[in-house]
Amino acid sequence: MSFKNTIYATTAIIMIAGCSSTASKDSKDESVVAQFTKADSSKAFTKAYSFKSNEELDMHILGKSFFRIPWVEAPSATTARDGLGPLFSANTCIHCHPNNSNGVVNDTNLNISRSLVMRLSVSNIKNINNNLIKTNGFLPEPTYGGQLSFNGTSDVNYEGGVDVEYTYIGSKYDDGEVYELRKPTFKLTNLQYGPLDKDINIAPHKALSLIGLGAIESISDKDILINEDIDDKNKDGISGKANWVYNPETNSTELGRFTWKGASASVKHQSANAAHNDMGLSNPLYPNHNCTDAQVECQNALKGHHDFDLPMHRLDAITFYLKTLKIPLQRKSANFDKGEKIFNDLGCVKCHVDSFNTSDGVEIKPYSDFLLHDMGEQLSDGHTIFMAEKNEFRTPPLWGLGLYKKASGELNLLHDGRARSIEEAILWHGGEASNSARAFKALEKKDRDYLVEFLNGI
Amino acid sequence: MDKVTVLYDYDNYYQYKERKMDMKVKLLGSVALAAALVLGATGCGSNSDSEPIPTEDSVTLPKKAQTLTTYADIALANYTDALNDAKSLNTAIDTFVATPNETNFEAAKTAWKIARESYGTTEIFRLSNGPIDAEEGFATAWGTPEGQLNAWPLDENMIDYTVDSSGATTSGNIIDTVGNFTPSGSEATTVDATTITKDVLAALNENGGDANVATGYHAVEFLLWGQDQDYNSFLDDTVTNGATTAGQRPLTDYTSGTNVQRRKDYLVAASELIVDDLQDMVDAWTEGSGSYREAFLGSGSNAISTDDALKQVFIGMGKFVKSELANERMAVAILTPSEEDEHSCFSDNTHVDVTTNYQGFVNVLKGEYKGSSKGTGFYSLLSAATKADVDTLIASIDSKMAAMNMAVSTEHFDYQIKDGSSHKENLNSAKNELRNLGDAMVDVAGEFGISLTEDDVTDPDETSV
Repeated sequence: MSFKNTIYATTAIIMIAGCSSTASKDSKDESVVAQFTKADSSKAFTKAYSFKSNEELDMHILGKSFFRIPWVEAPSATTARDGLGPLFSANTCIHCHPNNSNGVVNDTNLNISRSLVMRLSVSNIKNINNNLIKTNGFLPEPTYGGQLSFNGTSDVNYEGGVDVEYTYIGSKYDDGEVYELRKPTFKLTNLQYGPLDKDINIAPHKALSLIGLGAIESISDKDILINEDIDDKNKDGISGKANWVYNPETNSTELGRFTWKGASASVKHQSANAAHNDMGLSNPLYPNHNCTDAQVECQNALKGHHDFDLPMHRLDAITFYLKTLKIPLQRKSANFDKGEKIFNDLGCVKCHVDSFNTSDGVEIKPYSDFLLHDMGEQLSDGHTIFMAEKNEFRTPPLWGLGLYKKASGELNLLHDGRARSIEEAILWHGGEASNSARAFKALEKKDRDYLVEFLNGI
Repeated sequence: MDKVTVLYDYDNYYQYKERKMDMKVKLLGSVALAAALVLGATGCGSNSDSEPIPTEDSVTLPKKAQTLTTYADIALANYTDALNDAKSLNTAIDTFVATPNETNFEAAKTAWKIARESYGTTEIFRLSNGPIDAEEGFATAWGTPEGQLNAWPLDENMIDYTVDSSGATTSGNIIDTVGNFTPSGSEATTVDATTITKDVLAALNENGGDANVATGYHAVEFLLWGQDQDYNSFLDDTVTNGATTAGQRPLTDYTSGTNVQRRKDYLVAASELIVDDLQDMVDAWTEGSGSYREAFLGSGSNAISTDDALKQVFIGMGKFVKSELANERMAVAILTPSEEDEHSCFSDNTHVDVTTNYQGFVNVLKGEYKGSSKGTGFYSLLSAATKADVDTLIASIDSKMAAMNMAVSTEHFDYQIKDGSSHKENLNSAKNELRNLGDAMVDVAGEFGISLTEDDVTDPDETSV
């Protein structure tokens, strides 16, 4: 839509309210007001909704405190936040989502950042554990579990570390300009619990940015599934497949719409999963401690003095906090419209869908279809979870992309952070996106710049 | 309703609508533009139901400058008092460590409480891009010591022994570690703590994470009072020491216990750091070439324009009273509810923190200090309508502060926040009204021709102004 229309719409809304001396009861109207921000600073992803009630702000503040204040190991002198681990990667949520933005590959000491987790799985060759496959989506490594823990509490050994080596691949755009991509090889180091299963698959997944999660959750299944085209009946080379996942909160199979593989059905589902896997916090959705049968020290370690490290009320607060963060508005610079046209012409928009409506009828522009696509062998992480195959990823939303670097300090894109710029991320696109990536390579420099300018403004 | 496209900011509109709902339309600052659109475009009629629209610069430049001078004078007077009280605390601590007996122990605690009162009212100068905590720019030249002075909440386990929820004594802290000490956290750096000095503590503070607090008032507080902690379910809090008892650190920690000398060294070094940091604040606000005061009042090579100075002050006042005091300090404590989340949890002095933090806001708004006028205050230049709104809020908050302080005789703050306390609702209301007081800074700023939104006063993390 054009800028003029935007102004017109703004005025229209003000008129609606301005003429009425009584409160509008239209919930759509109010939610529109509450959920967007003009902020474009490093804190753009941390703004709270404009709440109507103190109770809502209270819940947001409470969730924020649990999201940001460090958890400690149990037993401790700070019982409100004890129960970290025994095996864990980080002691706060915010650590992996700096300023609620996406994670980076290296920490400030240039070690591999804890926001890049290593998912460990073995293939289900013997087809023996169908119940675990049903609820977990994949078979975890027998000794280490589903994710490598970089840290342990005092009496429990950490699981291991990780090193990365890059292979640099030089190539050229069609106009002759040279570029270089880097392909990472991750290697686990200092493994403390013996060798990994010989059938191991290691999938590096970097923390995603936390933008508009409540809005995404409220999109109807129908609006997402309408873009599904598993067998590519329309022959455009793009399929689009829903991931159907087990949600422990509802004990049912639901449409997956969050994480790199679309493996989480709701914000709460994902928050509980991350609390369990990344911080070792037991909670009502993942009631057990994050130890395998082989990890005796972990099982014997003292746990918090309560049923759950993260009880339901606090999980709800974290979820509410994440669902009530304002979405940054688009920032339209001079060539935004030109870049948008290229984005559409190249077919990017077929997967990075630019418009959905929330349950309140508010239009959002996430630039994702929330479906799985085959991204080719080069990007494959080898990880299968629920319906997602090894080469398949959920289209990551692109909104806020231009603010990532400000908020996180570094720009590391794609699931393992290999891309150091928007251009590199596009050039890595394979599989269903091969044609679009090829078309990008064929663009002249000016048009490539327009496209990037557009992407930085959405 | 037709599809609404959402590519714009609604903050101003939202406030506007709120006011319309209250039938109290005050068209100020940037809101005036939106309102003009409404009135013009829709023919809703004249603004007969609203009050006169102040012009953008209804407060003249000389008047604005006077209010800034008053603000700077309050800052200097208040930091000077805080410095003197910190020196008295340091002296009391020196006396105590030289002669550790019950009398000197009590005297040191009393000195700490007095020092907290004068420091508490200075906190209104925070979040204002000033020398206490600016993130960048000229103001950082004075060391921005806030994190070293008043960091909170702290992991006391890093400083000295604690008793954990199993009843076991913890170890591996700064005081019991002679030699290299590495705070927890993956990005912590090791510090040689063979001798505990100011430099060692400064190097350890917030090393490896925000909770790794090694310095400031709350570190001293912990070393004087010790834990005031419960070990039952955190949702069903029962403070071990009782409703009217603070932490009970035994005197023997300074006479016959282990690590006596290191604990004494720690206490002395931490209190000396407070004095050093406050001296920097006094210097910053003292008249003179190259001072922050000079820049703040629009002179010298780093001069800040009058409107920029006003804007950072108004944003800071709003943020401090709403996002810091009401949200971070009160809401989190009330909602958790956990004494770990109260500000002065070891001494049970949180009610004083809350009261003085709020008093600091009132001081600056009204141009007063310790009950006397310090010159032209922001309040004196406001319209009658805004004054009335602010008066109503202040009167109501005053009564709630009084109720909180009265209730301390039967329940300290950590008991008042518990579910089931008859005092909890009072704190809850005070918190909500403090938020409204923060939002009122949008109106106050508007009358000085400075356009702010509620977003500007809502996020304590956003200190850039």
